Amino acid sequence: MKASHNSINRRQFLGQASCAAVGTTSLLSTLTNMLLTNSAVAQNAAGFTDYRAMICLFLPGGNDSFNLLVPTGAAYSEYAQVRADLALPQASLLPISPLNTASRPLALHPGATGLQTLFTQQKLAFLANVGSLVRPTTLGDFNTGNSLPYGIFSHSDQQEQWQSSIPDVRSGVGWAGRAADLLESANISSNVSMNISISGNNLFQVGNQIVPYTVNASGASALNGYAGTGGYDPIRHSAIDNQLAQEYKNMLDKTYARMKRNSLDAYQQFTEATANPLPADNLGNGPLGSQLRQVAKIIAGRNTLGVKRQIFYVQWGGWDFHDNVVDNMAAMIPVVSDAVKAFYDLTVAMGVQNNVTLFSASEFGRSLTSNAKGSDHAWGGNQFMVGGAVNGQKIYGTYPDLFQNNSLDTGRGRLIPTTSVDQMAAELAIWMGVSKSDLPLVLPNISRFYNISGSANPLGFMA
Amino acid sequence: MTYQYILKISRLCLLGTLLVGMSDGLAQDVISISTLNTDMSERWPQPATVVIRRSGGVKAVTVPISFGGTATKAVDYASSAGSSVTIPLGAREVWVQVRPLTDALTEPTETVQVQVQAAPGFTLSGSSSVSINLLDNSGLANDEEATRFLIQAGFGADPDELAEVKLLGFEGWINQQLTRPKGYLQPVIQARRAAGKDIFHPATKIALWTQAMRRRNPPGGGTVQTDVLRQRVAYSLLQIFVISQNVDALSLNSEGVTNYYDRLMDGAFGNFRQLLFDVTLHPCMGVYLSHVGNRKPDLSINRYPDENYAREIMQLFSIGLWELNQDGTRKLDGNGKPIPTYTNQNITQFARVFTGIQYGGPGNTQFDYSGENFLYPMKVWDQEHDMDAKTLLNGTVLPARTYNGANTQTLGMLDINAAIDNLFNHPNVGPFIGRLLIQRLVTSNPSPAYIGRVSAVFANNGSGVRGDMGAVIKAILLDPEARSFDKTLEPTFGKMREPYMTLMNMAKTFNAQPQSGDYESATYMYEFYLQEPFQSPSVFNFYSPNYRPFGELTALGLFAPEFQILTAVTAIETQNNLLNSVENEISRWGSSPANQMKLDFSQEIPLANDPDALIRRLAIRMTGGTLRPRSFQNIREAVLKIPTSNATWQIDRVKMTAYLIGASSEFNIQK
Repeated sequence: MKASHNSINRRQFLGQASCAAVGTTSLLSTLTNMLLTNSAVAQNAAGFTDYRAMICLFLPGGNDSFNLLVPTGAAYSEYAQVRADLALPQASLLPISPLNTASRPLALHPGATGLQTLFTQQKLAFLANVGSLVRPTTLGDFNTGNSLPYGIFSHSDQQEQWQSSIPDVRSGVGWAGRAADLLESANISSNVSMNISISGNNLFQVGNQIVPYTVNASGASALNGYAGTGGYDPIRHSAIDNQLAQEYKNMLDKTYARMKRNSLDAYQQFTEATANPLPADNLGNGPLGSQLRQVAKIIAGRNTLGVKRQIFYVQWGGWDFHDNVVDNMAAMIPVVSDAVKAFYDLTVAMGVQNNVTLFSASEFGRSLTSNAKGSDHAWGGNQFMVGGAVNGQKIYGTYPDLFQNNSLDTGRGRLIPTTSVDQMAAELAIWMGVSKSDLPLVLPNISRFYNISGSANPLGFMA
Repeated sequence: MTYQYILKISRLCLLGTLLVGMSDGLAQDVISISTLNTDMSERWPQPATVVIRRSGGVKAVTVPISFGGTATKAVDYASSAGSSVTIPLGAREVWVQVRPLTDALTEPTETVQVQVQAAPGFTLSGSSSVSINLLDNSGLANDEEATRFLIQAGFGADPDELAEVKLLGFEGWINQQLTRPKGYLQPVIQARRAAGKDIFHPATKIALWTQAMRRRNPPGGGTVQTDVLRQRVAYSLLQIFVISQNVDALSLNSEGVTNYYDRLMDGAFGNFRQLLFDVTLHPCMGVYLSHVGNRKPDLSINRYPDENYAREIMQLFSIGLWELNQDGTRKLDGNGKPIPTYTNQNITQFARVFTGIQYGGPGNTQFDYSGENFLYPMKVWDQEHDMDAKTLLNGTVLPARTYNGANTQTLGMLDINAAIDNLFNHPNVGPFIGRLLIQRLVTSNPSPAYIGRVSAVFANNGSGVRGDMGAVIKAILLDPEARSFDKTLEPTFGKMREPYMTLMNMAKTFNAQPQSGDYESATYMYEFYLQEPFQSPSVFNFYSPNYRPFGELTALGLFAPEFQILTAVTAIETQNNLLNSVENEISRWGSSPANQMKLDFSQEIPLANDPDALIRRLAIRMTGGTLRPRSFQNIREAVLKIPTSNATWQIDRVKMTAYLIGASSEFNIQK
């Protein structure tokens, strides 16, 4: 348990997953029991000497990532046929030379020059056809509705599942939150959570004990008229503090006051820790670059914050292109690619490139077939991982057949993922310091995809 | 860290005071009495709180009290106190609750008098008694109850609307609202254009504010047929049938967007079937969910219909993802698992229904016409409509149709109407839409019984009509769960006020009308709140109806949608904007004198030298009387720190009160 005055609020508070099912009949006694029986988190993560951070770059709306990582050479005609008017011209694709043998020659979207450079520098790898799976799934399973993710192909559900990595149950807790529940003992007491979002509240970072801290690209906000020594600031200061220190019976009142208190407490520490100038960068001042710069500022403040482990959430764009998918991606892929490259370069300038791993995520890939204007919701997609600790210049997972009615095609080129989010998350969680034996606490379904007693890593993309 | 430090210091100070007080055995307590409520009502049995305060000493002191007045204790009212109260060691006040006892008698307004009696150990200061009116059950709503109603049903209680509600009663007021002329938004845009003003995206907010802020009895005289209930319901429907100007095609098109909003206004008290139809064929929705220009499949070139609208009309606009009982709970299959309402197969079938849709309007004569008309419903061009048979929900099959080459726009429309009917008649609509509207207006976690009562009205308005939205809104607002006082005491009842609504509530309550009538000062507020009308980040609205904030609520499986946009940034920025609104004006950057939206505190300023009266008044106006005694005390002690020697002490005390109430949990969580 931590000494911070609000540590009760933040961490040692109720909230085990098992409590989620209780009814409202004996509400107050239940709450009392939960408070009494709440046990300390696992302490296995203490004692890290190095710093590690992981950044989830979420591309909401469903990135059409079979136009990011594209078959070329002899495999191009299969791609061109299924994608029809959505196919990128072969001559426009950026070549890559994976060190491992992919199932077919692959190339990148013409706007992905930054990703291409990082790939060639062995700082970036792709994971092909990854998605939310309840268990390894065949077309037969799909057709009989066996063990499918709930609300399959819907944005809100698939987002939830990428972030919880539990596609068969609504848990209200994210896998980065559960990982942080285990890892946070590596950090000294802080008002600032180890899980920080630059892009709003999200499920990914919510733990059973960890409450994410959410700022924006400009950082945290100061409460006006509160901290000064003149005017009515001292009056407001004590009145607001008293207001937030009250005992509330109504749980919404209580939750509201607690969140405001946490925001005020974290502000000063956070702002001091992130005040130092960074090396020059090429992130620009767009929304994505600004968010990633804010991440870098926080990483630069890691010693002030006293953290050894941090998990960040950055979200950019709306990728739900039922309409104009080719034009829109032509405008947006370069933004992602350039920002990711500039961010990696900044971590190099800061000397932390081996301590920071960024990965992309998106709730689903899109239908390979066209609706004459764009593509529709599907399932498996392609993601990338970036950082000095990534075993780069490789394609992980299995790049699938794209022709229609192949053994993964659930219709219209909506492909069943061949790698689960669980496997991707496990690889990252292990790198962050979660022991293999603790993996099921973070990823309850992991054993359906990976033998946690074996010596091999789940996918091998992390050093 | 700072906080901890200050807390320690303040404890030390208190200890210091204690020691001084105890060593000085001669320190004499000065006792006074006041009340946090001047009225209570059998109809709305919220207890009145009498407060007995002391200054001077810190030791525990016992004060004898007595009850008098025309009402009889234990018959007309109950009290938490007997013949004395004790102010504990170190405390500065103690509260005596007086609770009305409801009976069936018709009685005149009675009074409860509470008096402090002189006794050794203290002296009395000021009046030794307070008197509280006890209103009979037969009367109409008091200010507290009526204000709370208008926080749910309107944009907060301005004095004119409050008077109407108190005069007509809730049902009478709703009945009148149902028949009031519609305050459409599109004409506001047209007037702006005629006046040569900007009509890009801030104009839609200006139009919304213009209509929401109308006063029943404007200062210039006359009477305005205000329709705040319709305005509030349309505002809420926009959070279900979401379109957003964060897409380029709608950003500059305020007239089209307000034309869409006006269809929501029609639907607010119209029939849900028509509402779903109007939404489906509105070109703004066609652009937003990409079914405008949707073409029939051509498998020879691997082309399929766009599935976007087909999915969202089911998931978000009508039936939701799971089969529901009429009380909103999920139906379960034999294995105890929830049952999906539709499969992806259903979506592909509905996608084929929504083919051949293109802009309408007088100029468009063919599917390939490139003109974009946002003021007419879209048309369904048979030449691009999929004529094959389609299977809808619940086994409904639409027959294959024969395209006659004439482009009559009739065959495709048959399919669209059949699909709308298919969804409209699905039993999920009542509980699904009913719950969403209850969450917007009343409480985040309605009981199954409450949802069930609203669903029943959706299914049949009493005259055999399904989907009568006026009846549904009435059922939501008049339901015992929405109206019961006891409900407000339950630890899980209520909702977080929408962050943006806190701004509208302040403006409406304190009549922040710009001289020019132009509400442009109220625009560009998204970053403060992560919310602003017509600016949702996606079709999923600003927050999910199923969002759970960390803590007790999640542990109990409860929802609190608006908490999704309460972050470490918005929790602070919302309060900063409150401070700016109270101290200066409602504006992000400051505005010209003619456009200034200043809160009108003229009624409060005369109360500045009586903090109890000042806080009483603002607590009623802003929270419907839900400010708790502890908060009242905290605010009073803050206000009293503003000395009357300050040149602007009167308005400063008013502003301090309004700010601290606006920052409180009681204000931000409506019950």
